[in-house]
Amino acid sequence: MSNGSLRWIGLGLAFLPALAHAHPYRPIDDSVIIETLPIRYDPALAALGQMRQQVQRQPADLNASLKLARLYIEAARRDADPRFLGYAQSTLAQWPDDSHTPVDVRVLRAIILQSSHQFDAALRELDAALAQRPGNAQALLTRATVLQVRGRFPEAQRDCATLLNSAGDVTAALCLGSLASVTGRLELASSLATGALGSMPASDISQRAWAFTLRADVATHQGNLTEAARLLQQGLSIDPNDRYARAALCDVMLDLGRPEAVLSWTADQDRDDNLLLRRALALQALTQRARDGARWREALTAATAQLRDRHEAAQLRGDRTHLREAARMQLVLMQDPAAALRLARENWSIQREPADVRILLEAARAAHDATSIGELSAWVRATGLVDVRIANLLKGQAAEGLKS
Amino acid sequence: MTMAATCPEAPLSWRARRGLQACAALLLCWCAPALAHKSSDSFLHLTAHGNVVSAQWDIALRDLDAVLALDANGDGLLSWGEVRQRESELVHYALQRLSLRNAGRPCIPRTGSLLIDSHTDGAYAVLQFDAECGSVINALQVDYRLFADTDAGHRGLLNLTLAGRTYTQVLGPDAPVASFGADDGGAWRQFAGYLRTGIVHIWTGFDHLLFLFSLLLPAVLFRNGRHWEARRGLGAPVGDVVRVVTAFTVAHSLTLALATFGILKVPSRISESAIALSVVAAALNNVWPLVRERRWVVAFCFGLIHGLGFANVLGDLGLPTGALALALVGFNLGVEAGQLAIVAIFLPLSYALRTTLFYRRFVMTAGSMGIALLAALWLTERAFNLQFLPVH
Repeated sequence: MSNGSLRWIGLGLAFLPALAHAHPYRPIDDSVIIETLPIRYDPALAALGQMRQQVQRQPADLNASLKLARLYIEAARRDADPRFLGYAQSTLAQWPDDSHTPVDVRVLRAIILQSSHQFDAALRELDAALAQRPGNAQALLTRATVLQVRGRFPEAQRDCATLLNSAGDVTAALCLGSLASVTGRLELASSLATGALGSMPASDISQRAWAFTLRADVATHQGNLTEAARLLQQGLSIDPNDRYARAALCDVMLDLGRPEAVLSWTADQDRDDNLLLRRALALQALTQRARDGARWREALTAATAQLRDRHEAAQLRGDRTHLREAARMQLVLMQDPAAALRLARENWSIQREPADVRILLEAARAAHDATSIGELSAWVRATGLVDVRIANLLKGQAAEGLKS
Repeated sequence: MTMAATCPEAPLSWRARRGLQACAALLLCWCAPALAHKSSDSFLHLTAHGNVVSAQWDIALRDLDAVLALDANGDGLLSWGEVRQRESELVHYALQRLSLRNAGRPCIPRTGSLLIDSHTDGAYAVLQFDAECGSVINALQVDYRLFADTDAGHRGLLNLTLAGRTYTQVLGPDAPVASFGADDGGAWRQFAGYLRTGIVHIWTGFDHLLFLFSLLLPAVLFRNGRHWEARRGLGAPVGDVVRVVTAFTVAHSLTLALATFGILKVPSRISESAIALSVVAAALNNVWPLVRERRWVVAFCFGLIHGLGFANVLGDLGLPTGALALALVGFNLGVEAGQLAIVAIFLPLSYALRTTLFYRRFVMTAGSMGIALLAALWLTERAFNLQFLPVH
């Protein structure tokens, strides 16, 4: 048989393993386990199922519905599982969208919208809620957070200040501190966070974790990455379910050149897209190591394929929650600056946190987009943002500009 | 998941269902690590042909459990037994929440089979069923209410093939109803749709291409004893190519028309197997030539069979009653245009390479052997309804 024929046969055979499970099947054995349900890894969900049946029986019970919606939102955060946001939304769906909508329903709806990065829709709910009840602390805090993410700092500042009257010092201090940390007032942010930590009870888990994350953000902006890592780990020891802190810690470890640490902080967290991205970035860094790079290649391929599938799945349904992560994936993992720039720009039109500045700046530099760089440079000047990394990127850009 | 993007627009009839499955399944190969947490989606593939909508609907078992409490023993693990015992209830629940209408009249689903498949976020129930619409489908309305009352984040990702066009649409509680086909008609657009499908079909239908290549490969050569030698001048090769292509075209157009108008009926398993056989024969003829000069006769005879294959595709698209001739002409012209484009690339290339040993020995002999082997595999698959190769 000739070489040519062998090659043809080889090509055919090469595809066979991929087809091993290539179509829907009907299991033969009744005892075979075909799916593991979330309740298996989060037993707290069992109670939610029962509550849901109760709410369905008595839909007019506002307090029961609110309680269930809150628990679903909490579950969504704890398990990084957006399905629970859909359940929460449905729990609140029976109240029409009019002037009689209970304020608490509006606030929870806004939190759900915020979680899926529909910031403008969230703001509409919050504006309506605050029009009905101007001092509502949860509404004020949520609106301040959303406004800050959107980069509307003066309005956010107003809401934080109003919080002083309605929520007390600690929450207002953290609100103002967060704002200070993204507008270059790092000393103020740090002292507000430290002061808040001193005056809150140890039992206040979420606020304590928030305060540590805020201090870590300040340290990151100052370029003190070791200190930032320490503070984030401290925050995580208080609230291990804080996915924001976990992702931030991974980013700091990546910047510190410690990919192994990222692997241990993301172990068993692959369900969370954001953490899987950090894991893939760490694996990529490990494959570039001369000593044992080849060891990690297979894991990197698998993680990258997973991420790509998930982003494609999100795209199919029109989900725009993870544009920042998608941009980072394109830039660093796929090394496609043009695609990264497109995503980072779209992301920039939705959210404007320091991490959004950074990914757009990196993508714009890689894709040689002077317009975006100019826009970001003006934004940094206007807002007063102080961040060593971003400043270096802009400085590097300026130096390159001088050379050319 | 890129089912919409990777599935061929117009799979051959007997492969149609399987094509969907294999496209969905390609995604699974990546599922090795932990499963993702994502918002809830179902995947609804509909293909309209004749009076019938063929459906494949993938719904996450996790979502079905949330509303039907499938996990009977409450251990957080779903066994096949737990699902199977609730099969009719599960199918009923889903079908109650999907309604299909053709020109205002409801299509009645005939309960099909329940299978299991995997997606990036876990195991899915796969419902395969046909819905009978009572008359030829030309305008389909889809009303999608699955989980509308329990999960506001749920979406149904619809992929519909209707009258030669593929539509994708995201359905959900905010936008549960979508209509397709009726008002986007216009004879020209329909014609253009069939034309495009014809081109796509010839370009992606490897069996037709390989048959044509097998017959065209020797056009720039002549047989001298036991060897192939390069022909001098362009006249003879061009004449040869024109004869082969014309004979193939006339023959397949003839049977395509006869089958489309219902005058000629051949079961697709037989015609598809015969097509594979024709590729084997044409390729082997290059290695051990039986027919040397009059290959156009071979092209004509086997072309008759390939026409039946084209007719299967056209039938699968769901033909408009009023515009059968339009569809036929559009599709046929598409096939011919696609074919000519390929010949236009093939002829100069083979002419330029004809004196090389690579072309005369490797391409002619090893290449033809390879084609024959691949086609033999297709033949076995089609004749015995097996599957070894990726869907082609």
